[in-house]
Amino acid sequence: MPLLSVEHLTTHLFTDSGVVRAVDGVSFSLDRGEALGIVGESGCGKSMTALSLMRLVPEPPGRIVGGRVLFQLTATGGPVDLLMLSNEQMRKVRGKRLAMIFQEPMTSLNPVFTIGDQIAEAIKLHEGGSRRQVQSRVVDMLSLVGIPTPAQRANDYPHQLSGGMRQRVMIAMALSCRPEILLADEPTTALDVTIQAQILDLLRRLQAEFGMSLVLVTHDLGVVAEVAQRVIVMYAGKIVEQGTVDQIFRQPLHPYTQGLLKAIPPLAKLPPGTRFATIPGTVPDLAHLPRGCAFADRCPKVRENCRENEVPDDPCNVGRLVRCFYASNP
Amino acid sequence: MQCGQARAVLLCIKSVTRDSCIVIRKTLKYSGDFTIHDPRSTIYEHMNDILVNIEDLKKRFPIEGGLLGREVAAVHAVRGVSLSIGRGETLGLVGESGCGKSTLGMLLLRLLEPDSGSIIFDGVDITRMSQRELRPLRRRMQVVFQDPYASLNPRMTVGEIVAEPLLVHRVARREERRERVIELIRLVGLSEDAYGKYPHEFSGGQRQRIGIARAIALTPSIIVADEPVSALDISIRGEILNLLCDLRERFSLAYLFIAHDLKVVEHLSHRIAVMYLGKIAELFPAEGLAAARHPYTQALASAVPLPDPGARRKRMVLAGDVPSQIVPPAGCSFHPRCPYAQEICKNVEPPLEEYQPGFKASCHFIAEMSERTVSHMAPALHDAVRV
Amino acid sequence: MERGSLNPSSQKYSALIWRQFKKSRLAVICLVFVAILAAVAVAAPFIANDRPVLMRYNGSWSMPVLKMPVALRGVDLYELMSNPPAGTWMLMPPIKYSPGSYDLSSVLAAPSLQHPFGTDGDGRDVAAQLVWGSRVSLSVGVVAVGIAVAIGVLLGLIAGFYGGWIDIAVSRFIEVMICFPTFFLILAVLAFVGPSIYNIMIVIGVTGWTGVARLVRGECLKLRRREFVMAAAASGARDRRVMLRHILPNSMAPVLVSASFGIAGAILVEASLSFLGFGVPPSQPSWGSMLSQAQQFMDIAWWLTLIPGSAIFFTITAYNLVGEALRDAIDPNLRT
Ligand SMILES: Nc1ncnc2c1ncn2[C@@H]1O[C@H](COP(=O)(O)OP(=O)(O)OP(=O)(O)O)[C@@H](O)[C@H]1O
Ligand SMILES: Nc1ncnc2c1ncn2[C@@H]1O[C@H](COP(=O)(O)OP(=O)(O)O)[C@@H](O)[C@H]1O
Ligand code: SF4
Ligand code: SF4
Ligand SMILES: [Mg+2]
Ligand SMILES: [Mg+2]
Repeated sequence: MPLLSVEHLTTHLFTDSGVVRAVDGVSFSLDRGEALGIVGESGCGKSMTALSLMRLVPEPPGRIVGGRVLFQLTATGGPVDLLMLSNEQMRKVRGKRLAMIFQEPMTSLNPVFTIGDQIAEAIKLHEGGSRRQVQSRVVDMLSLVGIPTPAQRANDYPHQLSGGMRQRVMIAMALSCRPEILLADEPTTALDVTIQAQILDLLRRLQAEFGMSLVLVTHDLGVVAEVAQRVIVMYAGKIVEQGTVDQIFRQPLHPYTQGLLKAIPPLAKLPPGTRFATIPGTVPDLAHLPRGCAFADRCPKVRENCRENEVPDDPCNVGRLVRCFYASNP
Repeated sequence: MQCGQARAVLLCIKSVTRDSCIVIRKTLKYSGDFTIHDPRSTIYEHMNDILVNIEDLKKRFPIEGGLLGREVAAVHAVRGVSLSIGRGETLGLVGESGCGKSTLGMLLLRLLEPDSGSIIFDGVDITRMSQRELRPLRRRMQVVFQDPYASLNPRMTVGEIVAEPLLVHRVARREERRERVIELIRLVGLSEDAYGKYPHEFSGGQRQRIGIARAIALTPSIIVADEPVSALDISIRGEILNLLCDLRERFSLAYLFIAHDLKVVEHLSHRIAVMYLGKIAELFPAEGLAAARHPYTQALASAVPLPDPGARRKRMVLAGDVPSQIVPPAGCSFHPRCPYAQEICKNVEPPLEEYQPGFKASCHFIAEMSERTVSHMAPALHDAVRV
Repeated sequence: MERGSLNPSSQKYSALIWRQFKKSRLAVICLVFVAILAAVAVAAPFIANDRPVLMRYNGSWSMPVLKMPVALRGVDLYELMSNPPAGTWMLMPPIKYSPGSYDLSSVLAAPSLQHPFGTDGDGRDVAAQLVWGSRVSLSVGVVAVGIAVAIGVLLGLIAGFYGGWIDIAVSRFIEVMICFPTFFLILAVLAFVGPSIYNIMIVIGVTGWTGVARLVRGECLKLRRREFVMAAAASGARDRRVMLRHILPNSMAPVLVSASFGIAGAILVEASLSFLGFGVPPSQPSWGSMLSQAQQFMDIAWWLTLIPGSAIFFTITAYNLVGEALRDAIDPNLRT
């Protein structure tokens, strides 16, 4: 029984220029202790998927219009559909069972409270306890995420910390109630490579130590390869390929996945005059999607029927989700 | 000779109409000597033909405080950098956020005033020139910015944006200018109907192309490219890098290519300078990345996540953050994070010295760092360094 | 990463603002009201006049509202109008009185079919005064704010762009200006130079630029370090071009908002001045002077206070609501 199973999740944004199908029938599951990567170019609906799971879609213009998010809330009972919970019930799930960290570590922290207060707030909200207990938990959390001299640092304000430290504080805050699932939306995009390495290290360690499940949203396949066990590739609001890291990196079957992999600068220096590989074109406007395969305009393998027929989950019967009529090795 | 070179440039531009050829030729005349280096050879002989030479450049930003706005402290953004860039050479500049890369680029263009040091541009000392004296030189040095959304005026059409440098320098009359702009728009891979559109109608990658068209409008000798692909999706970074490569070969451009990702810089550059806390930590030919020995360079290289799930290596994870630039550490500025730091590193600043032909580093123990230090020591290091 | 790359709405910024603005129904109604008001002010001679708009007399056509035709020289027009000879045809404006025409037969007449808004103590038609008064109110509002915006933009731009001692000087000057109680300053100056509509415009304009200057200075400080401004500087553009072509257009939207509030404020100041008798001379009807004259008949002729009072109220409210909607429309955080 998976910890979380998402079925046909559909989130639309009702904007002036039309209905943006940001999440369009997304289904996946997540086991306890598993790290799942969600990759795709910007604007593919990765963040909207994560926000939908948290029921934090900005409303208006957004609304979750369909699907189920089944969460194994208790060990014995059946799963609960998060989308059916009342706002009050959902609020209790958020933070305590399902936590999220965002891309921009500066704007996600309140500038007028110390970081210690902000973490304490999160703990008090869900668990309570005496002042002393809460305070020692705060210090524990800060040292867990690798903040040196955590007792003093707890009295710092966000602007006194560097970007990497702020992201650690965000993680400490998200983890303060030991959630079962951590949704991390591009947690390292705003950071330097050296700091990114620290944060990825931290996430991996925390996941191993606490048996926490992790959903890592990123556009960087390198980050996914370092952390995730399973990968979802999203394009234009839909999952186009799903598989284990080995499947995705060693046998990518969807042309989009193949393109993404090729676009990463290779390890060794290229011989002079080599061109960088790219995926030509841009993500289509999600408010005016073409008929058939949304990737058709950029796909090197496109054929007539790609533009006419809706592509089912696995038309080539490869045994996993590969949304392409002509899935094959590159 | 020069005429032949100019023709070579012109031939490279596809679909140039005759009229705009004239315009380009006019432009070329101003932009001084052109040396076209063979696109196939990437090893550039910069020693004998220096375009820009920076000597001990320093810049600090005062922090004002108190009622009277007196200076209470200062951010030491660039703390004595000496560099040279050859004609047609691409110098990669990497380092962590806030280490002073952009500041150095802006100083080179004299968009910021240096506190001390000198900038020699093509034999002319521009360090203390007034903006008025600089104006004729401006056409020879251009800039491409990181944020494709902030770098284009939202109230101007693409045509107006690209035409601005031509207009400012009174290159070409109105009709010619229009043709030249359309030429440039095509050259960077956009369609002609971009001319009348506004920047927000374009994606990030396309906007970056517009920014590049503006930068090459006057066929400059050097472009400071300040993280031109950092804000773009990986899937389209390649397009922009390819375009920059093409333009370099066509116009024999020199680049100061700023990035924080060693991988990107490695492929494009002839030489790479690694910056740490306002100083050059190491300088080496791009082919020699694997042989670069400074601990910081090695840490930067090993921090890049690899797109290979099998290779979840133990790597050198640097502890801590970039230290304060208001009170930079004494001695070697890298010592608080350096796994090899010794007593001397805390007190004595290591000079930037050549330790091998073409390789310069500032580290007391550079001789003892073998190329493979990190991979040898990594497992032990990993635990030692981790916070 | 790539913000908004997916929704390349192919419109100009102004179209975007207009689309946002339209979302508030009330704001659109107010904008229509403001537009009608402007039209009324411009067309006042054709709306309220005691002369015909169009007339046929002795076989020739003429527009007496604009210019007395030669054919009518020496003819008593009013006599003619009450007993038109055969072959004479005339089209009267909707309100058949001019603000200055006294009708001593109906003094302090309550609103009726003949005088929809009644008459005042001198028998003048209130509706006609209201229509002509809108000219004064609106022109004072628009011109005064125009002067204020011109001064404010200029000083704000220069202060924000050059910084240093220029900025300090301008900022201190602004602070000094703000310390003065503006209204009394205006009263004092008018007592000195004499109340005329032009003096009022200039005085309100010259005292009202500080808000705009601060706004533009702030925007300019923000924009000066923006990359497109740096790019312009890098291509050798002169300061003037950078300021006028790059910084100014990008700081105009908030200025427009402030101008909208400013017009409302200026209209109120003019009304208050006229009410206190420091305003435009009585020969020129204005809403403020109407109110002022209504005071003595407060208890017997309610319409004399109510009509100009509501005109001022609705106009000011409309400008303020338009300004508010505009402010929301240019706020990117509220955009959907
Ligand atoms: N106008 C300024 N006023 C004050 N400090 C500044 C200013 N511009 C830059 N700095 C400071 O100078 C230092 C170097 O900044 P710079 O922008 O050159 O870094 P960078 O290496 O380009 O970083 P990034 O990778 O984030 O672009 C930083 O500490 C920065 O905060
Ligand atoms: N507040 C919003 N209003 C309108 N459209 C939005 C909003 N937020 C996101 N979108 C649109 O939803 C789509 C998916 O966005 P997102 O999930 O943020 O993409 P990703 O995280 O993959 O970059 C995009 O087309 C984006 O423009
Ligand atoms: S369905 Fe067709 S267009 Fe779509 S990815 Fe497969 S081959 Fe390409
Ligand atoms: S000088 Fe010392 S601290 Fe600096 S890099 Fe070398 S070993 Fe490390
Ligand atoms: Mg996102
Ligand atoms: Mg920078």
